[in-house]
Amino acid sequence: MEARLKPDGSRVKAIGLVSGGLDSTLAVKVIRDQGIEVVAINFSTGFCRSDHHRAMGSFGADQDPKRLRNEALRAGADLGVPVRVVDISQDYMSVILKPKHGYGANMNPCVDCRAYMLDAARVIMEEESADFVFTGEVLGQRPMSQHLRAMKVIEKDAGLKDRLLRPLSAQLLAATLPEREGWVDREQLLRLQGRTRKPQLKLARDAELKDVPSPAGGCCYLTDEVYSSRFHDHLLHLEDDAAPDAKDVLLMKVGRHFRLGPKLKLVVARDEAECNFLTHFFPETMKIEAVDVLGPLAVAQLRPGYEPSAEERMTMARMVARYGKGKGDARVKVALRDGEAEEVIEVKPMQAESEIAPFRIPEKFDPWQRKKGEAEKQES
Amino acid sequence: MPDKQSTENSPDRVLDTCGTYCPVPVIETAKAMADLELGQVLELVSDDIGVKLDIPAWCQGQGQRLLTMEEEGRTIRIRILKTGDVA
Repeated sequence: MEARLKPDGSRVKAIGLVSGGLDSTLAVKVIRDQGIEVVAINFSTGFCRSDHHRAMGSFGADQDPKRLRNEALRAGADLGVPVRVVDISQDYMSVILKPKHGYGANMNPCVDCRAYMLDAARVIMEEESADFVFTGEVLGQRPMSQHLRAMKVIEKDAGLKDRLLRPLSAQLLAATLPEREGWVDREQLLRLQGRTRKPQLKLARDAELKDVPSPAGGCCYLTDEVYSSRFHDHLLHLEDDAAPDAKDVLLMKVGRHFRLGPKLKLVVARDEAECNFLTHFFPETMKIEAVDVLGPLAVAQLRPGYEPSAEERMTMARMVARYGKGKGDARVKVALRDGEAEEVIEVKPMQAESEIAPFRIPEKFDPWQRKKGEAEKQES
Repeated sequence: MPDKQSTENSPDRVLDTCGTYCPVPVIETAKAMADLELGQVLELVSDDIGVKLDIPAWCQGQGQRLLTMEEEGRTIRIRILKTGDVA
């Protein structure tokens, strides 16, 4: 493949945003095939489902290699393109908490998220003296962020206007600077649009990209109803000016979640891998576990300085006992460990769903509750 | 030959990422490789099973040479020879 040069003799260079899904893999291929030097960027937000699946694999969960690999790295390997994984999880939280363009159906601020990532890509483009940024976006594919108006807003917010190329839909969009300057051959770009993935699947087959993951929708936890409900519950119970930290983000990915009070949440593991996960990532957090009978590990997430009351300790013990082998027993011994301190109490496991239901953080997310909850928090 | 010598001898740098999981080991590997000179060898030590797929893929995309991968219990040791700039 002949290197594509600019009039000054330097090679055209582009920064690609790559998840490793079908669209971004094809976008890299389209640009790379024009002889353009590509550096692929894979942003890690902390909300990526596949990152979590891979971590859980190390704790004994599903070890299917296809679920363990980073697809962006796989795409780079298949196409001979270097991939840089960039951790944006810390600064990214401010985007989620106050999205200028609002949320989608769940806690997903897709427009702001894209703009944030593209802005970060613009910085890399400037540092690398690259010529433009490209993405695998397809016009009209995603309801929130990939319709024409949103795509324009995103371009503007990221400060990338005219240097942002969408190779898969380029022929349906106005020509960008790299196309007008002839750094990219517009004729070889594509005109895909809409939600169907059939043309992409055909292109992938023709290009002998055999191992591209089949389209499976969003990889982001913030588009997930259950996660969003937990995230929102967490926001409503944070101290003023506090923001969720990396541990909070992790904890919302596992277990069954129960709210016992504004300053106390209980998370009960659902399997052995989740028990290992809680042990590894939450060594300092109060642990609750049945003794003498098999059962899950639970952690009590407390606001700093908060001591659960005797009644709350009893309630947590009864909940944890419910999910173990002693569920049907009249009494179960449960240990509550906080650092060096340990208390063992004997409790009657909660049995009826009606007893435990009031504590459950809903598994469905209701955007109206989001607004109502925020208003109430402001008033209080 | 630098790579033969390096597989037999101790690596130029050891990076222990045990206890951290995706994407940390890949990010730290990239940083460590960027700091090495051409011809030097990095040994990554990890207990994240994702590295068994991710590091070979990273090397292939980046044009670095994976020398060896060994597994002992939960610990994975991967040696990489720096054969080019890290993008």
